[in-house]
Amino acid sequence: MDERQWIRAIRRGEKQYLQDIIEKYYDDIFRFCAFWTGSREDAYDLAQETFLKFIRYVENYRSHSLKGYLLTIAMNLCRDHMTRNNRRRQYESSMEEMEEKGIAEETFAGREETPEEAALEAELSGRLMRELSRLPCEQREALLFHYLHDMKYREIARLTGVPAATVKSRVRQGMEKLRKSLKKEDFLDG
Amino acid sequence: MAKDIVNAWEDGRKLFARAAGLNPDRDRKREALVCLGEAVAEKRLRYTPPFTEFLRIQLQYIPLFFWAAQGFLVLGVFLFFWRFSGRGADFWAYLRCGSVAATWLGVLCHGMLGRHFFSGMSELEQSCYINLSQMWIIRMLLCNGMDILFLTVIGGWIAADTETPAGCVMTYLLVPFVLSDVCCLLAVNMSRSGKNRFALAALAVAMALIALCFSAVPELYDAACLWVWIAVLVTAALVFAWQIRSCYYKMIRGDIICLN
Amino acid sequence: MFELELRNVSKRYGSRRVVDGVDCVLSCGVYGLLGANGAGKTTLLRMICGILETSGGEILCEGSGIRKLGAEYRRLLGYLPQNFGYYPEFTAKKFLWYLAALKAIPKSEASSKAEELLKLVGLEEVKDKKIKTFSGGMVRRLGIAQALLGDPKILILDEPTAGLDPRERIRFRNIISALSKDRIIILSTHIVSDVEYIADRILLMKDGRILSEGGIEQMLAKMRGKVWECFVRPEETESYQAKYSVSSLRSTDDGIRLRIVSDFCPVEKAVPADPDLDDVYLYYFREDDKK
Repeated sequence: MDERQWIRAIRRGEKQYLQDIIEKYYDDIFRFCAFWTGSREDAYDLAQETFLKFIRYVENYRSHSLKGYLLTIAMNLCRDHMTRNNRRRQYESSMEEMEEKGIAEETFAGREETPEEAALEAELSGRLMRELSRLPCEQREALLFHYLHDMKYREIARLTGVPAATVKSRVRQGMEKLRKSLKKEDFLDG
Repeated sequence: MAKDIVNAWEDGRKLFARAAGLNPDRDRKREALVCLGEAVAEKRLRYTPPFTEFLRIQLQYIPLFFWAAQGFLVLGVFLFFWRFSGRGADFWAYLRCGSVAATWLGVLCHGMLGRHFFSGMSELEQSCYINLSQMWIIRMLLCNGMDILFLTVIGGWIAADTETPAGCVMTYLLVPFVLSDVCCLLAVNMSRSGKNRFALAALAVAMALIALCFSAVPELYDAACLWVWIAVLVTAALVFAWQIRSCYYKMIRGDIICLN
Repeated sequence: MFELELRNVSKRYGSRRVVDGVDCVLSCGVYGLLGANGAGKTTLLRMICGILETSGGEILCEGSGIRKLGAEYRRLLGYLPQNFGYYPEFTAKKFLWYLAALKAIPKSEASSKAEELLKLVGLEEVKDKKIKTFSGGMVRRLGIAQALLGDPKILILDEPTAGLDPRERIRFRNIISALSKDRIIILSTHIVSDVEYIADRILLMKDGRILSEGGIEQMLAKMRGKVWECFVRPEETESYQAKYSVSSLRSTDDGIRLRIVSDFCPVEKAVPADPDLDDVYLYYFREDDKK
C-alpha cells in the first residue's frame, strides 16, 4: 500500500494508518529537528509537535509527498522555536552543554556499534550539528533537505517557496562554508 | 566548475549519510510513540466534502424564486420566439425580446446573489467552512454560465431564422447582458441593505427600456457599427471581471460582509 | 492545550481605532467579554472569527495565523453574530441543515444533530415553521443552536442573550455551563449578570482596549476596599450621584442606602462593602470626572 492509499484510508476513517505513518517517519523528523536546532532535547519536543500538528490537520493534507509535508511542518515549527527563544543564547548554551556531556555516549544511543566506531561517528555528527547551526537557517534547511533527506532542488523549491536556482545556490554556499570550517579542523581528511 | 559541484555533492552525501546515524534514544522514542498513539486515538476525523458535494449544496440552496423567475423568463422567450418563427422571421422583434431577456437575466442573477447580503446572513456564512466568498464566486459562475448558454441558444435561433451571422447576433445579445451585470453589481456594492431589492427592480425596468430604445434604432445595428458593439462588449466584460475580483477581495477582507 | 493567541490585534477605520492593540492568550474555558456598546467588542470578535481582516497584529490558533489556516480554522468555529440574519422562508430545520452543509457536516449526521439542537434550545415544536413567524427570542435561540452545530472548539457568541426573556436566559446559561470545558467560549455582553455565573474569566473592554483580564474572584479581590455603603437623606442622593459612581441605591427605613465605587472613602460614615461584578464593571467604566 503506498502513501496515497494510506491517506485515502485515513480519510475514510481508518486511523491506524496514522500511527504507521508516525512510526515510519519518526526518525527522519527527529534527525531533521536535531540538526536544525542543534539540540537533541529540543528535537524530541519538536518531533512530537510536528506529528501532533500532522494528526490535527491530516484532513488538510494535499501535497503529493508525505515526507515533504511532514518536513515542512517540522521546518516551520523549528523556525517558530528559534524566534520564540533567544536564538544565540539557545544555540551556544545547548552546544556547550553537548560538548560538556560528551556527545559520544548521548548521540548514538540508538546504534549498536563498537565504541570506537560510535565515537567517531558521534564526533562527526556533533561537529556537523555545531557547524550547521552557524549557517543561516535558509542554507541549513537547504542542506538538510538535499543531503539528509535526499530531496531534489525542485522539491525543496516547492516546499520553501523559492526558485530552484536559489535553493541550488543556498546548498552550494552552505556546503562551501561547511567544508571550509570542517577542513579548518582537519576533519574531512581524518 | 561541474566537477566542483559533483565533489560538493559527493562530500555532502557522504557527510550526511554518516551523520544519519543520529538516532533518537529508544526508550524516549517509544514514549513519544505511545503519546502520539493516544493523540491518534482521540482524533476525530473531520469530513471533507468533495467538490461535487460542494456544487450540489450550491445548487440545492438556490432559492426557489430564482428558479421560478428564471424558468418563466426562459419559457416566455421561447414561446415568443416560437410564435414569431411561424409567421416569417422578424429580426427586430427577435432582437428586442432577446435584449430585454438578456438584461433581466443579469438582474435576476444579482438578485439571487445579493440575497446573502440583504438578509444579513453574510457574516454568518463567511464564518463557515464553505464560506460566502467561495459560494458567491461559484454561484456567479454557475448562474452566468447558465445564462450565456441560454443566450447562445436563442442567438443561434435568431441567426438561423434571419440568416444573420451568429457572431453578430451574439454580440448584440451579450452587450445588454454584460452591461446589466456590471450595473447590478455596482448597485449591490453601493448599498447592501434590504432596500436594494427595489433598486434592482428599478434597474430591471430601466435596463429593459434602454434595450428597447436601442433596438428601435436600426442604424445602430448596421454592419459598420459592429466594431463599436464589440469594443463595448470587451470593455464591459473586462470591467465586470475586475468588479468580480475586487468584490471577492473585499469579501475576504470583510469590508462588505460586516454591516454596521 | 488548545490555545488562541491575540498579538497586538488592531482595527482602524480611517483614523479611528476601533480595536487598539489587544494582547491576550485564550485557552479552554468560558470568557465573558464585557464592555459598553461601541467598545469594539463586535469588531474584535469578527476578527477572531476571521471574517474581518486585522489592520495590525495577528491572531494565532495553536501557533498558526488563522487567515493562513483558512477553512481548517473556520471548521473549528461556531459563531453567533450580533446582527443574526436568516432567510425568512426557511424553516428552523432547513436553516440548520443549510448551515450544517456549509459547515461540512456529513448529511447522515446533520439531520440528527439538527433535531438534537432544536430540542436543546426548545424549538422542537416549531421546527417545521418558517423563521419569519418566529419571535425575536426564538430567532436568537435558533442562532445559538446553529452556533453549536459541528461541536465547535471555538464558540463565539456576540450578545447571545439580547432579546431573550429571563426564562430563556436561564436556559441559555445552563446550555453554556453544560458544554464540556475542552473548548474556548467567548460571550460578549454589556450586561454583567449574563456572565457573572458562567464565565471563568472576564475581559473588560473599553475604547478598543482590554482594560483588565482575570478570573472573577481575582477581579473581586482587586476591588476590595473600593466599594462603600452609606445611608443618606433622600434629598442628598442627587449630589452624591453627581459626585461619585453609585452602583446601587435603595430606600430603607434608615434613609437611602447608597453603594459607592470609589478609590477613597467617600464620606466619613461609609463602611466598606463586599464587591460584586457590577461594582467591578462600574469601577472601570465610570466617567472620568468621578475618579
